Amino acid sequence: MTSRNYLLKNIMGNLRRNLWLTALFFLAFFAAGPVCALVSLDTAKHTTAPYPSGATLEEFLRWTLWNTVSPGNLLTAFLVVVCAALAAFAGFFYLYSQEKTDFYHSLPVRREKLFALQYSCGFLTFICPYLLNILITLLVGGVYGALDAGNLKAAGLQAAFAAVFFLAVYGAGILAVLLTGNLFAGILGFGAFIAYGPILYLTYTRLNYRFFDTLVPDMGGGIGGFFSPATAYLQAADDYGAGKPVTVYLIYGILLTGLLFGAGILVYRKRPSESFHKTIAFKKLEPVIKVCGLPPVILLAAMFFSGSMYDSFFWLVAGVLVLTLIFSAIYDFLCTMDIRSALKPRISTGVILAGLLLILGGYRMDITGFDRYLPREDKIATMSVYFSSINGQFGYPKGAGDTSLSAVLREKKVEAFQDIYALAQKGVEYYEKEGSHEQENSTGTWDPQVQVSCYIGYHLKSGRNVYRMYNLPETEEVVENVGKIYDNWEYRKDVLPTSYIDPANIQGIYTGSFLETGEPLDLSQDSGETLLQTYKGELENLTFAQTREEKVTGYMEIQEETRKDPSVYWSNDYISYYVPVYESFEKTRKLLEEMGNPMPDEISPEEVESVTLSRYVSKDMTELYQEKVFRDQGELEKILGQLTLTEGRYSVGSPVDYDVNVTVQWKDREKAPVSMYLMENDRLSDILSQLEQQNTD
Amino acid sequence: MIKTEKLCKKFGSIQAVDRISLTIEDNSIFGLAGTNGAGKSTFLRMLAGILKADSGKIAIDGKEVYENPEIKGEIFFLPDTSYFFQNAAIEDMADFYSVYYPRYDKKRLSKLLDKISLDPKRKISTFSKGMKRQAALILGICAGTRYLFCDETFDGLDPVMRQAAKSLLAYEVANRRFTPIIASHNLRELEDICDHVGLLHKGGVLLSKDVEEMKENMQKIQCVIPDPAEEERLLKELEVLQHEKRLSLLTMVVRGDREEVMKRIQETHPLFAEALPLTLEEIFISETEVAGYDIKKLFA
Repeated sequence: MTSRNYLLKNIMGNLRRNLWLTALFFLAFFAAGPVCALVSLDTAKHTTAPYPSGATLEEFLRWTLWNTVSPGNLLTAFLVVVCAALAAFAGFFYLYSQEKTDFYHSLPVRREKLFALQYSCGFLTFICPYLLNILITLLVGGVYGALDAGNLKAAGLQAAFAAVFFLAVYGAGILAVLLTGNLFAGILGFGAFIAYGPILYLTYTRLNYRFFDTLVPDMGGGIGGFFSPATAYLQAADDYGAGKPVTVYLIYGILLTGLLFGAGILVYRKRPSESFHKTIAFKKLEPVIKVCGLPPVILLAAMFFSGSMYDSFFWLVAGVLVLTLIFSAIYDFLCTMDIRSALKPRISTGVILAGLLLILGGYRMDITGFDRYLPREDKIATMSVYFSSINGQFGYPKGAGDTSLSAVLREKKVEAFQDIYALAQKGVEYYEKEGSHEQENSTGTWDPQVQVSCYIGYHLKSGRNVYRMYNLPETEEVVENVGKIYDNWEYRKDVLPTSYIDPANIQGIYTGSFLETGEPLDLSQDSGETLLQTYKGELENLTFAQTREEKVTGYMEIQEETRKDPSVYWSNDYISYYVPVYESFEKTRKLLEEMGNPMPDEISPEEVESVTLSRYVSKDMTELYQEKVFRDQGELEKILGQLTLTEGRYSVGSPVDYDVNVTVQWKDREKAPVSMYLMENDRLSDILSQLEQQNTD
Repeated sequence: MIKTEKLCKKFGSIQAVDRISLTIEDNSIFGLAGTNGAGKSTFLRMLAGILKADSGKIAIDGKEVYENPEIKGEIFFLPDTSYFFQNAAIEDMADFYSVYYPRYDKKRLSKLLDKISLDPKRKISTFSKGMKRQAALILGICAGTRYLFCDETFDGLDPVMRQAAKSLLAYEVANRRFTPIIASHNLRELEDICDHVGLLHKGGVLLSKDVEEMKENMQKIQCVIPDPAEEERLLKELEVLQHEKRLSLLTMVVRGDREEVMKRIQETHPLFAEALPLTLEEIFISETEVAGYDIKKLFA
């Protein structure tokens, strides 16, 4: 039997008793909110123009306040996580003491009600000082004239995130207290709740990296952050600051809060009152927690230990064996506080060992056939491919998110994928023939031939997406295959940076040629658009064979103004694309010449004083340097006729001799020497043999 | 009424309570005696609904107590070391309890505190151990519950306070429906207050009896019988639980009605014969010896 307003009285009484915690939270958020805002706003107010991104003082002040009150404030996010942990331990710490447990559990109230009361009090202890500080921060912003609707909305969103993720972390903390019987175990348990998910995910990804040669890194879709409420919150704060959508984090937080609250009530009801001073509150859970909790830690530690060792698999297994025994003994000691008992053999230790050996054996033998995976062609809807030697040669819009490796593989799908499939077949055959990289490394038989890195995405009709990476030797057959893929417009349209440039946003163009670098182009809006359209047409019509055969006579650095995200006050001014101009781009070159930045297809020998060829060669395990200076007009003509620039040039199947560096010394001493590379050609054989005969040191 | 049937509780490998079956009538003061580790605290914590029994039944007024707020509202548990909130004064604790116990009598609390000169506004953390026990007992009595479970509550009280506390409990029992259970390892503490005593040992009940009934049915006699043959015949005829002879003085603990026992002794023409008061300890020693236990060793 309880009094009518018992809930309110109870909460008020509890808040009074926890006043110290409320005061502590208030001070923390006061420092992170109003004080930080005051300092930064005052600094901003006394900063002289110009302000970043061409903002006005008012905009600059609003942005300064936004930094403090938005969910992107990492300091607040961090404090919320710390406060949640403190509130959980302060609120349920009584379970670690017999006197206090007896006191609370003798009261005439059901356990779930008692739990809900303590839970609510902990939340109120946090939310009251937090909201008060948000209010003070906004008032400070108002005094500095920085308050607007955007900042109010951001503050509301920050409060929503703080409340939801406080409850999520708080729930995890409470569960840690409920499952343990003393403070040390509770802290370990809380650490485990926060870190277990990320550690498990990390272990899984590290094992995959370690054993799968064809694994494409970072294709997890960024789900790693969701394995822990704390990391999810911090990631949400980070993403919000970067202007990315964060609703999914909020939904995740709400779901997790509900789940942890339910679990908390259930565990509280079942938790024996006599669990104080024990390590694990439920005796039956001891081996379960051990078997579930230790393996990821053991595997990570063993991988770290064996990572740089010669016969790494042997040392990995040895590490797992030893670490299983060590970690098991530590865990058992924590549970029993008896060293003799901890050293006794246990079934749980055997289960962990057997499980880990099975996992390692499975990975070693690739029982899932990961590296040999090749779906039947008729099961594939589309495919995607990314070549480091092609896609990697261009700059793309920063932050657009559609040109990174993972985005290309996920989004740039090709329906006519026969050539990509043929390349994938070559990759699987090559892997099956050559075996894993680990074997090659351990036997020291790594193929020194030039490799083509290709990343392939299979988008199956079932809706499943599978990604693989192959390093294939650069044979003519492979290069031809790559060429066929490149010549498919479906693929090429997404590779060329001209597909992403908006002529209306071009701020300026700079050129580089055999003659000079970094020259600004004098252009109007119309001439800029004409130049870009002309260049785009010529680049898009260039076949893969032409990219191999032709010289790159110059390049353009196109600066484009970035699109401003209205939700983010701060952003970069512009981004640069570096695009190659091939010798066959006559229309582009003509336009450039008319604009005063000519791009000749070769250098006249009459302008050149000398050309120096140099290279490093490996001989008898030592690195030797060769250098030869050419001054003869005939020789100069041969060399200068084969020069090419390399900006934006595809390196796959390239005839460019990257080993030989060419330095041109002009007759006009005012001009700085320039460095370039040679296109391989039979005409150069005598030149190269002269270089070969040079004394080395 | 409290009734337990084959109540069991195990902590790991230790059987703390082993098949305890007891009946505690209303409006009696029940003493729960036993050595340290006998299971008294565990038994009381189960009765208070703090611990869940592994097996067996507890019925208080015919209802299960564990997770039953209705029944728990009629119970106030006083552990051997009471918990008070940090920086709390007695009146703060009373405020807290009054939320959970609607019949909480703050006026009576004030009067009782006044009688023993305890300041209700003073922080309990500044109290001595004995003062804390007094405060806990008074806070518990004023809760207005029908049951008060006291675990070693009189330990640490000075003789005057102990007597006052006993009087207080007796007063409550006499004036309202109130059943205190007092657990103690000290039989002397229990003997002058309890109506009924249960003895626990190794988690089980050795015996549970009404104190007056035991006293009425058991006599301690000191006598000097000049004729050794008469003396030998007397010892055989009476139901002697214990006897001891020092020189010619014979001391016996005898089961039976006092008048009948004295009449039989008078027939032997003693030089001297008188009945002495029995302590609870002596009653227990005699009873448990009969049951095959050596209680002297239990309480040694």
